[in-house]
Amino acid sequence: MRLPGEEIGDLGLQGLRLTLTLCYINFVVYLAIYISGMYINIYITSGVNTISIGDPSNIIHMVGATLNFAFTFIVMMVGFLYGMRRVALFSLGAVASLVVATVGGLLFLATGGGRQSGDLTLAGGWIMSLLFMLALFLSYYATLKVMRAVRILEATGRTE
Amino acid sequence: MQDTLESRAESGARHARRLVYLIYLQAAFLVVTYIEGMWAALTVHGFSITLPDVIEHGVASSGFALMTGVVGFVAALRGQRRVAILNLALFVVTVLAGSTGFAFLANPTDPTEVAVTNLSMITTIALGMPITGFSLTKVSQESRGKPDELSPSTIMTYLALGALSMTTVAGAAMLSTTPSWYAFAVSAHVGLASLTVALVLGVLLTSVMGTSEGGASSWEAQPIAYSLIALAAAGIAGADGVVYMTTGDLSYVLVMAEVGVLVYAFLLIASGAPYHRGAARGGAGEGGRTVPQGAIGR
Repeated sequence: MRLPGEEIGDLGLQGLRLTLTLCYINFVVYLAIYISGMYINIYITSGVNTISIGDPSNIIHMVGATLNFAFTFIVMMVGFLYGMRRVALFSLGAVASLVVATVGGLLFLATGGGRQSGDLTLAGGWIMSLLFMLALFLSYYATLKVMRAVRILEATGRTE
Repeated sequence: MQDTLESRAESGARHARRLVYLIYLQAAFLVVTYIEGMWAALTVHGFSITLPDVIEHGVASSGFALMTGVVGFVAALRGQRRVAILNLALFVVTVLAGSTGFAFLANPTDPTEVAVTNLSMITTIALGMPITGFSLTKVSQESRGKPDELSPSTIMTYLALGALSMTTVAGAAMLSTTPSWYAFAVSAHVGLASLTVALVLGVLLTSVMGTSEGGASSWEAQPIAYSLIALAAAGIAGADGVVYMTTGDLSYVLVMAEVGVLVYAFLLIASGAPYHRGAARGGAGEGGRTVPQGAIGR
């Protein structure tokens, strides 16, 4: 049975639920990155001090960013492989945003690591923050599409 | 009803073939990560986050981590429990090893940081070699519609990949340990390298012997050719090691690592073979087979 206008892919209900769980875990990781980033901003640098790559809070933040990127990438690949175009495209946008955000973070660290280290450092910080928010927004839409596909399959009583 | 079942089988085989390509990509990233890492360890002095060698190694290792996560998750979606668990565990180990790299970049001259980073990263590579080999064998069997069987050649390939990975760990330990452990690391490295060569020879022999069906032995050309090249690469890597021990020139260690990782690459291709591009357009079942069993004369 085809459902015109709806994008349910060929992943099946069980696979969609697993993907949705991954999306939820990804949001927890987004939250962890946000909290660790704010912690660094307020308590470590305080707008004056610098931070190095080896600082424990920075390592936690970077490991969180790695997990976040990996989970978003996995959702994108699932979208491409299992015929869910919108999930794939929204996640692709999030992945691209995270790449640029990472470059911003690298710029921040490499040019001083403090808000008063110069314009380039400040620009790196802004790029990191803004693109992070864009990625969160796009991941949210991808998750909504997965959620909708789950609801449709549940409502129609299909498993595949 | 019959059409639906055939359509599902076709779709399943198509997804399995895509997963095979992803595992090849994962293995390619592993090879590049290893070579870049060895290159950086042996040639770079004064590590920093902006150094091109470090960035290249970081990008390659990120690709490996990503592909490991993707393979693990897609395998979970396909219900391949063991492949999924192993790859997701490898993903976690890779991320943790990456975090030791961040700490190392803050103190690149600290001997403890150097040892921890070297050994944790090489352990990841060492775990990655047999896991990618296992994943590829399992998924390529599924993509060809073959039963989940453990042939002598497959067992020998797993053992060879395991021995090769232990050889790389012992090799990295040689570069990182204290003088009292150096002799032990050298002995372990040479012993494991010899074991690897013996096992690759075993892969070659079991590939040549093939399987026996109805009393007639049959064999396939691709695994034989690839395991033969792997054996040659292992021999060249061993020779490089001997030259290094004689001359003390570190560039031979680099060549040894580069040739050594070819052993992994060809063993992996041998375990996935026979395979050809046409299989991607073919149907389920034996679509991936290049040469029918018994078609090549003895």
